[in-house]
Amino acid sequence: MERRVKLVLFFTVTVFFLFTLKLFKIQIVDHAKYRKLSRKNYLRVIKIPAIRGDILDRNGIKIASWRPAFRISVLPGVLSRNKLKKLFLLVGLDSLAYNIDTFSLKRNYITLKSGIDFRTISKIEENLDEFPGVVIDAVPSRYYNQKYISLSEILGYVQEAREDEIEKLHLDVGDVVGRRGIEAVYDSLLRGKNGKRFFVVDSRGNIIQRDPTPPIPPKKGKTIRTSIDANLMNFIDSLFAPYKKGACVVYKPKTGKVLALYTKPYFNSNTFLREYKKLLNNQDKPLLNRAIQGAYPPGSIFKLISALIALKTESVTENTTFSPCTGSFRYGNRTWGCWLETGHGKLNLPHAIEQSCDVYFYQLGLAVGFKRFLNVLDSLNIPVYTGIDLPHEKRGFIPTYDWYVKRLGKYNVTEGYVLNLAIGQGEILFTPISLAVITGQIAQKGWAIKPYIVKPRKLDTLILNIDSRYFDPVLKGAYLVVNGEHGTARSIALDSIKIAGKTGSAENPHGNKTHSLFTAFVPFDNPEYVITVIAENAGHGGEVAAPIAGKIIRRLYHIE
Amino acid sequence: MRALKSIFIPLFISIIGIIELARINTVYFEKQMAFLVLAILLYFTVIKINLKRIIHQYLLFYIIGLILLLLPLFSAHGAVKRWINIGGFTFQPSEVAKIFYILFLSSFFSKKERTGVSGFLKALFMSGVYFGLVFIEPDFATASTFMFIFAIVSFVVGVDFNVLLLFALAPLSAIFSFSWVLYVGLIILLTIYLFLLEKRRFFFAIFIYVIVFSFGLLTPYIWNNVLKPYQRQRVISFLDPEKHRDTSGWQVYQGKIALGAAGFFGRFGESYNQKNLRFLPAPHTDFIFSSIGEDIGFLGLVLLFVLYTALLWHLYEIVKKSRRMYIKIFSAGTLAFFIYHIIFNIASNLGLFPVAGIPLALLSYGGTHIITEYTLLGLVEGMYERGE
Repeated sequence: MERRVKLVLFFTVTVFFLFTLKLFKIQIVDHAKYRKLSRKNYLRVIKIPAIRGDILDRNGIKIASWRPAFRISVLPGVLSRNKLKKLFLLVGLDSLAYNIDTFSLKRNYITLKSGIDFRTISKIEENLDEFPGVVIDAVPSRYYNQKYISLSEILGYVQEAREDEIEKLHLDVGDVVGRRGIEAVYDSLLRGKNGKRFFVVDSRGNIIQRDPTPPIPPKKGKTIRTSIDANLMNFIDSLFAPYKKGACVVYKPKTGKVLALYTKPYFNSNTFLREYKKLLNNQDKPLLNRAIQGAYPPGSIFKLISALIALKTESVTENTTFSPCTGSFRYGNRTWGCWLETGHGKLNLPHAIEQSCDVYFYQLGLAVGFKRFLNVLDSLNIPVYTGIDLPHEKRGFIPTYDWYVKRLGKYNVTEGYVLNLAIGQGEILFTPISLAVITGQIAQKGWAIKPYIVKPRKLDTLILNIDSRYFDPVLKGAYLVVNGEHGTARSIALDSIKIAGKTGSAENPHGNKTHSLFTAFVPFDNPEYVITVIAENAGHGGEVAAPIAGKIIRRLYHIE
Repeated sequence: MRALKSIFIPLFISIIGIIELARINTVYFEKQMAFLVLAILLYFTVIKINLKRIIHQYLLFYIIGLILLLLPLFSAHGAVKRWINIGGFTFQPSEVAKIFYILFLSSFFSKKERTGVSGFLKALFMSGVYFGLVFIEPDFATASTFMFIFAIVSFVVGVDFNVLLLFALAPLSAIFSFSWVLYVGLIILLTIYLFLLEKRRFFFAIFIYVIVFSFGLLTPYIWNNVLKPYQRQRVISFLDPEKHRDTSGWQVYQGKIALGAAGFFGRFGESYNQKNLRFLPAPHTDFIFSSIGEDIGFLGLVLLFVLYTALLWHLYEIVKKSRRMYIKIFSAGTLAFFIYHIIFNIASNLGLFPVAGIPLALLSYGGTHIITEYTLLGLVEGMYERGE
């Protein structure tokens, strides 16, 4: 019997020895690893969000800055699913932009939500005992100057990053990313570098000690200065008060600076996310930045380009007069009217531009010929897409001869189409920013600097493919539009400074009134500013858009 | 005087446990201190009990144990019928039943003629009632304690090893089938053993393989239909702790961190340790080994193994020196009891065995357990002193 008991004892001691070997492995060999794991257990990181860089207007006014906001963070693995759900309910969160489990593995604090109002916070703080592992603190949060809210479409807004963005951009949970506008384009510049704070916690999420090691401070993002004049934007906003929809661009063709890029209606960057559904369903489409995304038929403004085409093909000269305007023009088996039913009489090219005579331009178009007109138009290199540093700029549209053939069939393409084309009706579409750049190019006889909101390292020049000698008759016409005896925008003429421009009234299928368009440059002999105004369904160019531009010019030159 | 000398080592171990409990929570310390005092008093009381006159009444011990096991089934509340209330104290009768069970075994097997196959089968049948009763409490850990004690005692009293093998093989292959390494290892060992037998017994070998394969394959069925979810969970998380952080596998993981971070000398003086920050689960019961290990490190734990070995050696010496069979067997049963409570608890702390709620001998918090232990030791001492 003793032999067998001895055997049992021998086996037991052998097992003890094996335990000792295992303990040796755990306690001696892997000691460092477990030491680290133990530290990871109790030392938890909470992110200190970096302050997002300010966005300034051209005069240094802070249009986007920050202010403190409450943030709520949770320690993963402490709260049960039900408690978490309850917390979500209290915070007013229905879901997260990410799967919380993905980020639980690191076991650091996870930002649930930033920017919680005081009332909600105090409600949670009352019940904080119920939510172990929850930390409430104040963090910097993006804030847009409410006084300059008309800049919202240029600025964009920020939103909590989605899971895929967190992975792609190496962000922390709860970090924001810029959406739309400057916020989106210069996101990486504006974003600073997050800091870290360390807490010693126990297994139940109670904080035992704050900052056992010093925090790593965050780095603020870069401040971005824009070319926008915030007060000018507000002034333009006040001028648009009577009109529901429209856009306005103020642009310096010599430098590329965009002083104003106004669109109406516009959203409010501070409340964008809260009002997103409402904005989306709004019939007036406030989510459309009309200045860069609204595609409008240019109407009579296009006559400037028609004239250039005719001059380039040498089909006309400054002094060409066609059959006098009687108020209508007979071509094919149809009568084409002029907007002035009583007729303009006999006009040369500059005066035809001055009075925007349709009959003159019908004949100009015919003189060039449909196919040639389109080919030259195509070759001009008109900037239907300007490449301004904002996201989702829409490309305008210029049809080609092939496009007509494709659309109508080879035998249905007739010369008659050139009549509509020459006066700017039909399929051509321009965005306001593109119209402004074209105006700058015409004003400077063929070139303009690519527009920008934030100055790039290298400026690009946008050049029209046409010799500068062809511009004089067109410029003369543009001068007469404002300063001529019969000019369509003569009401805005100034003594001290010479304005030139072109009115346009684009028929549109949706409203009874035409879109009112006006594009101008000033001063005439050394163009400094381009002002392009579009007021939707507001009337004729000379009635609405031109006076708005006139007031903007007077403000730019401080004329009362 | 001899009794005082014999209690020194278990008391030394118990004091380590008491100090550890004081470090974990003073409430545990105070209660356990009271139980320890009671246990020591019982130790010196039971030494005086002379069982000589009734020692051959194995049925008496058997029935007392049986009543103890039946008690919780009738008087306890809740789904797990393991404890009963006596004057505000919760009391675990199955622990005390272990004493009577060992008494029963020593009484039964002290007659040489009962160590044959028929005697073994009779003891097995009677023990089977115990196993079954504890199993339906349900308390798998305690049931396996009884089985373990039965296996060891049967072995040492000289039951034919091949017979034992036949019966031990069923539970072994069931448990080992959870890990294919263990299962294959078992089959290889068996094959070697069968080859080493003096006479190649063909049918015996076939029978052995049938048991191994049928129980190994039956286990999935038991797994899905017999085990409680919490038991299943324990086994699952035992297999892959890092993936099951919220479960008992997570506990083992935290226990390992406690041990590993302690290193050679332990981290007695550190305030940010696993225990203080409450990352170590159940540090007073299931994981007291890890908890102690965190404080005293590798060196301390090796010393603890030395202490345990000394305790076991002491019991072995009694087996060797005593002349009466029932004393030898009772001492061997006590030895089996301690081996079980040391090995399986530590194995679960080291991640080598599922966490099954087996207390660590002389160290885990728990009144009934420590009282049982000192009663067993006291009985052994008393028998030895008188029967020598």
